[in-house]
Amino acid sequence: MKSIDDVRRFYQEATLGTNRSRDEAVLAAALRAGELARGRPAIRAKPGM
Amino acid sequence: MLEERYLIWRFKHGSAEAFERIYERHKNDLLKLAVVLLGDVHAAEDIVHEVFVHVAQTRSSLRVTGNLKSLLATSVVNRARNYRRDAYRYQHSLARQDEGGSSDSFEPPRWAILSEQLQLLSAAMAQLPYEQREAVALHLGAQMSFPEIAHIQNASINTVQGRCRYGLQKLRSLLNSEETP
Repeated sequence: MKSIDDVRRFYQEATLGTNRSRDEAVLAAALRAGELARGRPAIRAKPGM
Repeated sequence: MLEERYLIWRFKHGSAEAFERIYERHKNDLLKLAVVLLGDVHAAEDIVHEVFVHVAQTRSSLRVTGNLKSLLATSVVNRARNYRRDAYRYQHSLARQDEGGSSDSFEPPRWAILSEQLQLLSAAMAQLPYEQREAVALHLGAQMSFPEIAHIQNASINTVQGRCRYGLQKLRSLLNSEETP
């Protein structure tokens, strides 16, 4: 590696994959914790409509 | 930038889809940051998991003044510091490394799958003093500016620039020696 830019490139190109099943577990935990709704949030009708 | 602001707005109003997009966009960079800070894949996975759960839990009070990546990276850095300070967990992780991962006890499936390049980088980063490692990782990985890093490290901009410069020089020499055995 000749220059600092080479280190920068090396850092940025060092890749990482993730396990899909673990992704789903993390997402499920976060969605539960945040009480996030899948799909569009329900639109409440205004009174009198 | 506008798209990200819209995503954050939707997430704050309860959209799971917006959260999933934020997660997909940032999870790899955050995992990589945690891996190079801690040199322990298990600990890195736990920390990133906690960061996303915490962000979801506190969504209504979430304030993003700069960009979201910086906010998430800062959260990873703070948790990584806490992890290192926690003597019990640190000892536990050393014991786990000594086992070499060959124990028969149950372990959840590994989340992060490191490339050879990332393993090399993580081993080299582990040889830098922690403040240098943090400054280099935030500068190269999270593309944060020196003033932003100075704020996180509670140090002057000059100090942070020095940490990055010395850290990068040492990293370069370590990676060079790895390349030529």
